[in-house]
Amino acid sequence: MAADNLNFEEVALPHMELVYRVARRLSRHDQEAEDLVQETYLKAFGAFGKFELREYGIKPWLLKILHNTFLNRQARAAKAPRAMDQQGLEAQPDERDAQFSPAGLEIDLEQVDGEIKQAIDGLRPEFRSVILLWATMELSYQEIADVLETPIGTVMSRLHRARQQLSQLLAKYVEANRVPGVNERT
Amino acid sequence: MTFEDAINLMPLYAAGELDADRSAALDALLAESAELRAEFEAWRSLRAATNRALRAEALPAGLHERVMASVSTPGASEPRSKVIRLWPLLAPISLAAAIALAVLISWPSEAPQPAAPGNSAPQIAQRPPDSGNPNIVPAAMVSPQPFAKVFNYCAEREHHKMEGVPLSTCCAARDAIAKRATFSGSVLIPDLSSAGFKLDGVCMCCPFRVEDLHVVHAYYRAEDGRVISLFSLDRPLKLEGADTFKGALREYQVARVEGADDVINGVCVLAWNDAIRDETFAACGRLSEADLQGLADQAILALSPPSVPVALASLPR
Repeated sequence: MAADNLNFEEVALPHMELVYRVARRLSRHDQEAEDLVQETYLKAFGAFGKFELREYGIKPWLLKILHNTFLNRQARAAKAPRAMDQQGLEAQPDERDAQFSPAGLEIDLEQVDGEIKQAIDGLRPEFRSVILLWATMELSYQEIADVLETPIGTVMSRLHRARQQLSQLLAKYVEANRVPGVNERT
Repeated sequence: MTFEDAINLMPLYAAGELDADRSAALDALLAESAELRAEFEAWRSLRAATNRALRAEALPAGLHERVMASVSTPGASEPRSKVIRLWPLLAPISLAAAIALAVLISWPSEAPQPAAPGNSAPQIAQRPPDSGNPNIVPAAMVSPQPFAKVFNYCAEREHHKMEGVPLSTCCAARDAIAKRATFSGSVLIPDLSSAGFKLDGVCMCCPFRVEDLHVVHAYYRAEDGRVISLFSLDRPLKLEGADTFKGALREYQVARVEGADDVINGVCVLAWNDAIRDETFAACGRLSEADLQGLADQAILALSPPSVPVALASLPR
């Protein structure tokens, strides 16, 4: 179906929360994520005439724009000196917390979620993208490959390596808290 | 299906994205292999945990409306051009330096977002379209604190540099967005190097949540670590609780931020209205009122005729 017969707001805006969720984790920054979402939607709006609704809808298309926008911004930022911002500093794990976590206490799911988010944030961008698309977007390998503009084989290998890295990043926390629901085996 | 195939397909299987044929084949392998079952459980758990961790990330308040507004802006794909000159005339001695400091920047037509978190939303009269007459929009009263917050956030804490944003593309994402929906322009930034302050950055971070309020924020750093900000705002404003006094060239309003957050306590805000251009300028810093006024006077004194630079004059208006 050509975009002529579609209303951008009806088709694209319902996915904004999902797009923001990916943007937030990709950018690891609240304001940056909002900027990414706005830029993504403006680009999508501008290019909507070229969009053709395929069987799986507009979501992969929006995610592709988001991903390219993110990469462009990264490339631009890489040319400038980088330093960690306040939010990044505040987000650094305090090893003392892990060492002195009281064993046997009820698991705090919010804390678990925080650890997982932090672990995802700790992944390299290419692994972060693939794990987000796989875990939260209900996309097939082919759709993920389309979004990331990489071969399916690369998607699969990145996904496995992302899991491996996540496991390593979460290992200390899992060991200290023995969190149910987080892979202990990998 | 081989064991290797099964391993490769496990993420899709765990996500319920595998077709029926391959699902059936995988089911058969799973029934036989404890290792595969553990692998499946690992992927399933990872997906569930990731989904749970991220599901709470709801859309920030107002983002939906901002995106709606930006994509429904008439003529969004037809940028217009406008030149904003903060400081209209340059002394010959500072001409070359000032030209070098001219930065391209875009005014956002949608509501500017505050750079500093936690800014309140003061009541400011919105300027009617095409209104150049200061009598139409009386100066609105604003608190000096939001200026100090942006000063602290962008200038003192170097927020934009920390994000890795180069000077010419500060607030890059917002600029990039604005370019589609608004016009671009040039902003001429005063050269304060003779006073020991070098330009450190420029952004459009707005101290106030006011639709269509256009702000340029330039900040400068001295070798001894002192930092100052210079704001240009597109309408007349008055500082709350400010003392008014006559400077060498004009009447200033001055207020020192006290009793607020520790990070902005002690910041001095000096503001003046330019009746001709119907704009307000504000300088911020942890300086004495006299020092700040001296810098403000110097910035203007450096801008005397007859030095309208050709390169700048030829820019589109």
